Amino acid sequence: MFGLSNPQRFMAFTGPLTPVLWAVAAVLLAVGTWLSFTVPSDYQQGDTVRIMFVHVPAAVWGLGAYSALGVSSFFALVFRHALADAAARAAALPGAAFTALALFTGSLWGQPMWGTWWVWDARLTSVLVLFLFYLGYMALRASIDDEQKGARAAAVLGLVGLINLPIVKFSVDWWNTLHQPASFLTPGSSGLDPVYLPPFLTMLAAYGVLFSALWLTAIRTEIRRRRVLTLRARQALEA
Amino acid sequence: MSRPVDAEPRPPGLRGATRVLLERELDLAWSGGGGPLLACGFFACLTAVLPLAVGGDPRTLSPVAGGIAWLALALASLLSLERLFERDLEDGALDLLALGHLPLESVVLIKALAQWIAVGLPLALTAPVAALALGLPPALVPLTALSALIGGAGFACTGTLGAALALGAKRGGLLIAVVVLPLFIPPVVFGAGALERAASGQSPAPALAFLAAYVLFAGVIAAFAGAAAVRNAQG
Amino acid sequence: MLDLDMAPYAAFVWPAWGVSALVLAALVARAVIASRKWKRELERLETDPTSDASDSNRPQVARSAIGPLK
Repeated sequence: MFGLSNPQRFMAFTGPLTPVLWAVAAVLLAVGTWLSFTVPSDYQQGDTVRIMFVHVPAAVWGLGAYSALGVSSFFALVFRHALADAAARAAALPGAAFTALALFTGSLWGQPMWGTWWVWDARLTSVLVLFLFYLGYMALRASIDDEQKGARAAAVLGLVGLINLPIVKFSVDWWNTLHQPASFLTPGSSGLDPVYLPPFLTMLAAYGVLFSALWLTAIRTEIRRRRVLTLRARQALEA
Repeated sequence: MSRPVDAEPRPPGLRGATRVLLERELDLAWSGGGGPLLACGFFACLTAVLPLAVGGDPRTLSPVAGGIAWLALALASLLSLERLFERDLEDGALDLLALGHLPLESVVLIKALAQWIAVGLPLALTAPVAALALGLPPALVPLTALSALIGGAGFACTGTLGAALALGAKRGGLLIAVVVLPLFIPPVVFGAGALERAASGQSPAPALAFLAAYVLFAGVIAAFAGAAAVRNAQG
Repeated sequence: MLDLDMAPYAAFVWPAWGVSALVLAALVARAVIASRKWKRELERLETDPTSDASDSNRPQVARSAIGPLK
């Protein structure tokens, strides 16, 4: 049953918080963009280094979103908490979008860097698998008509995926050592020049705050949506 | 009847129940429409199509023979997953199984075991043949069969989990594939990797160890997560 | 300082940033629009429980069978 106490407190707490998050995200994005384009271009990579400032944050937070999804799924399963389920569902689309952005921008970074749009190294392949996880999660949720059942099945998959992701990453890393691509194919493994830290960290923070704002907003929307459906059902009964 | 009228039939006990369920599952798998033969046929078709797609030059095929065989193995393992739970759900047998002696986790594992025996075993026997046809060095045949056998258990467990998750969903077969293929990646990587290492003269043992570890892990996850998924689909 | 000439990588840098901006903007728009829609609907239902939705997408309730839609 849709308990009101916790969600009410959640709504009350996040109500004033969410606009602040949006504002902070906007500021960080603006500052980060400015920094990204005013920092000098790299000796080796030229101006393509600026792509890193949209690529790495997207990848990091795509992964972060999946962790949020997995942990929420755990709480949804173990404590059967509707709020946890809403949180899991709300993380899926932003996370998938961030991951897709990571793949796309990574590809654009790769072409001038390594002369190829795609390379099967451990990092890119893992991000691709992460994206596939998201697709499977959203597909499962969409395919089961009964909302509650679909939510629980998705929670199971989310949790399984969370546990499996380190395994997949491990296996892909191991596979990578097996197939030894040329060793220069790891951008950023040679340390980052400190001059690039300000734009990098700013954009990283910006993406993080943006994800938080998107996530909280989606949870709030989901809570309202469920309340609307409950009220409508009650209306239909009383009609 | 020689039995006294008021004697109650003895409950089968867990070992008996396990055996009965396993026999039932194997029976269903082998009788209804030739599941194992279908999977092997699919495997053979994939093996035949591949050279048509990339050219039959042994220099192109031979290096990837092991890997391709593993890919085809993964795909062929996807077949007949849908019927694992769907039919039981439809005719009510799943409810009976859930209420029976065996915990639902065991039921799921037994179904996975039956899937491995019925489908995984024939595929493991077909895999070396397919790989040879694609140009695998004959010395690697035993390793191919062994790795396919172990990997098949992993596919069976993960596939069973996928079938349980997709219970009652539309387009179940395709959905199972989309859900399960990312989870198939570790066994494919380790299994094909074992063949690669052996082909380049190194020991395949670490890869096989990882593969076996994955199978154990998949078994545990399939049992608990699969049972949760089945309960969800029923209730 | 601000040098917008990305040559020779312009064809890579601008699409990367442009698509990122577009996708992020789309995510934000979607989140905000959905939030407002359901907030509006919830407020409408909570303040006036007997009101009928003018939304034609609303599933039919029993009331509509016994009288004109208000």
